[in-house]
Amino acid sequence: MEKKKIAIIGGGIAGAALGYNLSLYDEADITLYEKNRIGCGTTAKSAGTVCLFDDSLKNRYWDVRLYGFETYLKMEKEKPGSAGFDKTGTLVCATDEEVEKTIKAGIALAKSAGYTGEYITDKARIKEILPSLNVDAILGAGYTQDDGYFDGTMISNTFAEKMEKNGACIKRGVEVVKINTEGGAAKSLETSEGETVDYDVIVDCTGPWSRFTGNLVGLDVPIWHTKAEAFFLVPPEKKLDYVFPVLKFPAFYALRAGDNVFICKSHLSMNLDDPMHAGQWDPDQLPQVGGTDDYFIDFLFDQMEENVPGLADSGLASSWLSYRAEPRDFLPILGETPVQNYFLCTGFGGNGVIEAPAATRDMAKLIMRGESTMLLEEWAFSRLLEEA
Amino acid sequence: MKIAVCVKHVPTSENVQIDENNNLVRDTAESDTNPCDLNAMEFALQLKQQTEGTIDVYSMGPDIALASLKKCLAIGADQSYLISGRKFAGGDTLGTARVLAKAIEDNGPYDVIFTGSESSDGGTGQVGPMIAELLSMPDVSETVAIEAKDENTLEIRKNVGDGNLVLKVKTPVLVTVPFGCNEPTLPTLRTQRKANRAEIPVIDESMVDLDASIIGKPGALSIVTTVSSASAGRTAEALEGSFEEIAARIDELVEEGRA
Amino acid sequence: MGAIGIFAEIIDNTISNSLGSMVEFGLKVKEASGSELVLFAVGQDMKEKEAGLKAAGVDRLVLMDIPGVSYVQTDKLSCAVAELLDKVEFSTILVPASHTARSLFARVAMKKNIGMTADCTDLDTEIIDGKPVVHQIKPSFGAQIMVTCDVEGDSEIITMRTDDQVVPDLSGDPVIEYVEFSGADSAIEVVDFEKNDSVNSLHSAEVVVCAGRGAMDEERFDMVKKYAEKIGAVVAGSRPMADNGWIPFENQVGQSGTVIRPKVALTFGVSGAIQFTEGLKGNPLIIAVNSDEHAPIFGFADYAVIADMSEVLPELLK
Repeated sequence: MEKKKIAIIGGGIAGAALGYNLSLYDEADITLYEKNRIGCGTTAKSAGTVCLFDDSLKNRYWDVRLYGFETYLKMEKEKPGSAGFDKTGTLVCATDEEVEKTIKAGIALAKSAGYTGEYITDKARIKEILPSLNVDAILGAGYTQDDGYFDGTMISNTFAEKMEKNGACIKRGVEVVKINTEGGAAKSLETSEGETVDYDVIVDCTGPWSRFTGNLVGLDVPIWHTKAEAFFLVPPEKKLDYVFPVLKFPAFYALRAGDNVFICKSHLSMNLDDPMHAGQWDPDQLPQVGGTDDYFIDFLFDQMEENVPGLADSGLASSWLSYRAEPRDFLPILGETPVQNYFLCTGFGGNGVIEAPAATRDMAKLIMRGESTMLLEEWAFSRLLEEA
Repeated sequence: MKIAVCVKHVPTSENVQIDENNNLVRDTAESDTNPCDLNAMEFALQLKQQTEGTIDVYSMGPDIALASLKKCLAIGADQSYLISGRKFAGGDTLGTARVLAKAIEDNGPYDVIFTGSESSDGGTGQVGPMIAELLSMPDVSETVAIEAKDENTLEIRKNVGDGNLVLKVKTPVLVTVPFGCNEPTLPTLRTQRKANRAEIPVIDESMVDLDASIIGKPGALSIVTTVSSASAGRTAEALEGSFEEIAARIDELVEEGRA
Repeated sequence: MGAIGIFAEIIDNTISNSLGSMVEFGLKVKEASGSELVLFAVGQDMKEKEAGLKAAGVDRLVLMDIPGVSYVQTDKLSCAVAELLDKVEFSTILVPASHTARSLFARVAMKKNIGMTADCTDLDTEIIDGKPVVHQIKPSFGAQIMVTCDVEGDSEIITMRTDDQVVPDLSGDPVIEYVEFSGADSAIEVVDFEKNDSVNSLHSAEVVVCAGRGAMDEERFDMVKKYAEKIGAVVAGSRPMADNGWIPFENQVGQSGTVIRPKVALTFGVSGAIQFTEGLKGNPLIIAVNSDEHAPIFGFADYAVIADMSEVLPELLK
């Protein structure tokens, strides 16, 4: 049986999930290159939330999120802890009627899929779920006990383990430094260890590094980096005597991290031309901690004072800045490119953990069978070329 | 009591950069407050509360050190000062101590001065005692507990390895504090927001009356001549042999590491 | 040509164990430079200590007897040492890098404007223009870089990292001199000593034992805890251990938990994801035990034991 030699560049959630999905095909001969540690780059800074009721795109890709959620539930069932699931439940707060409508639609979808969900207007009940909330500032809230958040790093490593069991190869600590083309088609790649290896297919799963990876084949991958600022807060009472749910407001979201609360600015009103929100930077220069701007403290304080006053006097334990990688239309970039044999599986814009299972399932089918899907068509790289 | 604290803003990156003069490049991205300086701040806060005193924080460094000074204000310092000027740069511990001591003296007199035990970048532990010498104060290092007994006397516990010496010390005194001996108060959203708006005065070269020959690069007597990367990539050395042999080696390594 | 001076620290009225190592460094410089090697010390009951200071290869002992002085009275001692240095011409002064000696000599350096290099691991003596120059070698920035320093001026103070297991050869026969101290007060009074018998808190612990997902069962975790107790270490863990209640959240090491700066960290069954390794700072010695050869911790640790911890721990507990 002649195998298809596939190279995956990048061992984050996208690369590891793709590697696993490809390894389910007998004819796939897979090598994944990760220059540092599996799932320890952008993926490590992901909150990993599910949020069955809500996403910023009015649930257009509901099935994708559902597929991701259920993939990880099954992963947990197979080996508890392998997806790092913390089933805290989610509380999505309606600050106005528009938001309320979206939440209610989300609840209908969740119920349709067999999960629980309710829209609560009884303020006392909401207060019971999250005592530090200012219930007077909201109309109501959607609540489910069925979801929570996952750990993208653990998931990446679980996918890595599974793909290796299926015969795939992972080169850890190895960087791809050059890609050779012949007649407009990608042919081989060169590594930091001085090896040159031929491949039938090369896939870029490098997220915020995609512009640099694309340059290796002379491809302009229009990835922007939008800033995702996050803080670890130590609640004033130190130990919370209730389970802090995943909390969603239009402008921010929060979840528990041990005894602390992890809080991050949401994707709302990202202006790609505003350097305070976005830019095109070098992800290798991004520090592991720190790097947030002062305005973020103001923003966070205003949000807390208004909506979660119980946290306004929380201690600031640490913070970080991460890059959400995405193109101008904020959708992922999948599929074929003008460079034959060179594929993209990148630009998940902060939703990589929940979207990777479905996206990479379809990418694997495209690579191995040449067959497309609805999702691949909506998220195709070619759409960005048409625009240009 | 009138309290002063010296803090240093240090690089925290896994990847250090050295400039042509063999100095650490200090003003790039990854940096934060020297960890044990926050333990020093914590004792300063305790003493401030106990004696209804005030805390002034000093930091010598480039503008990026303002982040540490603002953090100290957010934690509970009353006033912060940035000591910054080209003439101060490139100094060794003698030069650094002279500049800090002068700035402190000009705003003094202080009853207690706190510093961290050593900085996570240079790590000499000399600057604190040198400041004490210049200001004619005793110094107590490895302070793990401090309490005011009366207006001029402090009871200080000093860690000496197998236990703590209990000392009675007359003020003024300079105290150095090791990492981990207390739980530093954190800035909150509220306090940090307020601190970010503070105007922090800068003490520059014109305000420090010291001869240029004894500070900064000209005054440095201990000079770095060569710099080399210690270890290229970190790959662990595998311990092999029987489990008995491995265990014995681990015991050895732990003892060596402890020393 | 000034002499090479070795400070023999007296701690708690006893000659410090750093002496052997310090003499070794001194002899190394003497061999290259040919200068006189002088051991100097300040403390009480110095006559009784003479025998313990007669290191082979040392030419002269210069001692100062100050009744009732404590080694923590650096204000008083720095005056004494400064007076001693006025009596002897030293070109190089070697000092053990203990907390008290470094404070003491920082004060002396400032008093006499002598350049001081700290925490050196080695010395390299070169003859330049007929004069010995002692290059100081030390790690910097958490041991990521090695630097060589030189001190300008007529003399230099160098603090050395010592190996306290080195036993000095006390068969020497140096000339013994005493220097008078004109006296000074100290603002520091030693009142009491409290022995440490409680286990350190995680933050100040010198040795930490970290349990990871691989230790998440009764038997294994029990052995990990017993081992920690045996070596006087604090038990900490990675996120799965805290999430599942094996350790309290305060003892979870990592980005969202606690950042620690121990001297030594042993990990058992910890995979080494960045969320954990970000909690280990200050460049500790890391020994990692994990049965998975691909575990990322091995790219981060100093020593690797690729084995099941249930085979290694019983040996460690013997």
